[in-house]
Amino acid sequence: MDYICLVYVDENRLASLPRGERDTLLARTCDYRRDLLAEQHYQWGRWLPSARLATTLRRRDGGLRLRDGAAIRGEEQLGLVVLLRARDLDQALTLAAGLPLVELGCVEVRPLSEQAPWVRQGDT
Amino acid sequence: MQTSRHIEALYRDESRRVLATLIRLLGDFDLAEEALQDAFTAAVTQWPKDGIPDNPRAWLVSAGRFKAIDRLRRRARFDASLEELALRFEQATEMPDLDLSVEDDRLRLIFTCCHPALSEQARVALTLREVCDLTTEEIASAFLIPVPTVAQRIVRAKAKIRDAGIPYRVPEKSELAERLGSVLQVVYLVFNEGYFPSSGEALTRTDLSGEALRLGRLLFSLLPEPEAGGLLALMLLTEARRAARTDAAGDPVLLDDQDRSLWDRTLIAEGESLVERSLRSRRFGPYSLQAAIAAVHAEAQRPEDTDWEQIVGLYDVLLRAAPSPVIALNRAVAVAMRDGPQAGLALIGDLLAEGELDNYYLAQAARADLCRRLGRLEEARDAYRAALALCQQGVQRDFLQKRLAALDVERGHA
Repeated sequence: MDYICLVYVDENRLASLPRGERDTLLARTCDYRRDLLAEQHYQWGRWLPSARLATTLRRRDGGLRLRDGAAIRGEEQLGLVVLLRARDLDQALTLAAGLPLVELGCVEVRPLSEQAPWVRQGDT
Repeated sequence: MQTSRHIEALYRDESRRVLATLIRLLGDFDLAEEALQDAFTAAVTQWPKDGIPDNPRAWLVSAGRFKAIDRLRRRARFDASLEELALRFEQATEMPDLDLSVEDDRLRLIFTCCHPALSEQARVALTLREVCDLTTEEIASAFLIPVPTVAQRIVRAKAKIRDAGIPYRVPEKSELAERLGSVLQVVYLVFNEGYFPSSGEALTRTDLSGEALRLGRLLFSLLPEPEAGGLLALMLLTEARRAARTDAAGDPVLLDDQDRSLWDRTLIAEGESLVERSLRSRRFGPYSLQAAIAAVHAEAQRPEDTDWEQIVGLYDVLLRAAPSPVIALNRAVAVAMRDGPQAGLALIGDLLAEGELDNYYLAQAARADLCRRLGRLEEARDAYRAALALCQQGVQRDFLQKRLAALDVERGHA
């Protein structure tokens, strides 16, 4: 199954870390990515720069409503997205827990589906 | 007639085992439950004619599996992807050696129902439903929550198991301790809800404690880990005191005032031997230690025979293994018994100053009791009042009220 790992982290806290610690964190994340890739768990991943760069929009009543910032506000913001392939949730959780940023922030692990979830309801 | 009675008995004894195996084979809780019902329905019509099969359990699993394939086929007329699934089940014709795998299937089911990715409430409801075979209505009435709430918790938990890929397997050795902790927590929660209801007027709900004991025994028989034995021992040693725990009027009786001849010696003996076994393993944890403390109490013929030195020692180890303000409070009470009320009061004072027991009425109740014993009646009164303000449970409130009233009498005499 495919799982998306949404890593949330407080960017101010990250910025306040000593330079050396930040470098180590980055190096460890790159190493971990290589391990995941070697074991064919890693499908895709990207860093997300500051949530200040986000723009959120909604289309309502024929008009577009635009707003500066992320859809959900909070101290911890999406900072890294990793798409993993795992046998089951247990394996996905174990792999996600190994992401170095989880020591600082948190990771939300969610299964992905090719089918829109609302199609499934009421099929039986 | 005899056959139908046989099928009834079989349902009672075997339905959870058959269900656990069907869940593994079919990979879906709801499909497996339907298949289980279909299999027993088929047995009711076929067995009186054809006779009872040599291996009824294997017959039921096999019948359930074929019924599930039929169901998928019928639904496949509307959803083509189900045809593929039906074909896959059908081709897996090789039936595994049932007698070997069936106990593993039960353990798998317990670990899946108690998976830490499910909420604690969902774990409790799902385990009571799937492993213990309680109905949704029974679970709702035991926990005093509406039936639709329980039903929804179970439906959502099953959906998460299916759609998030929560596996149906016994955890590997490296993760066993943590995952077992999640299972034991569910068992103990069910037991405590039966023994110390968090709300309502009745002091105990025997049926829930009974379910927890059955579950604890099943778990320990499937997986004889020290902490599984420790929890079973703790529940047995607690349950042993049930008859002495309330008086004729249904009011609680403190440990010191209990009629120890009412304690169930059979349960105590079983609990003690389990505690010893767990402690000898040297892989014990908080449940075994709490059971060991309960065993020391059980050994004392009279309250004054209690080995408080040993109890304080066990609390010291427990506090290191599982630090918590509540355990620290219990230790303080044990120290008061060993070294006198003054020593205990000082410790409770420190704990209250740390602020973590602010909403815990037993901390105030313990302080009140120690003040009373020291003759500091005004302080005792204030502490009982503080305890009352924090306590929601009807019977416990009555108890505190009585203590407060007795204090006024005592003060009148002074």
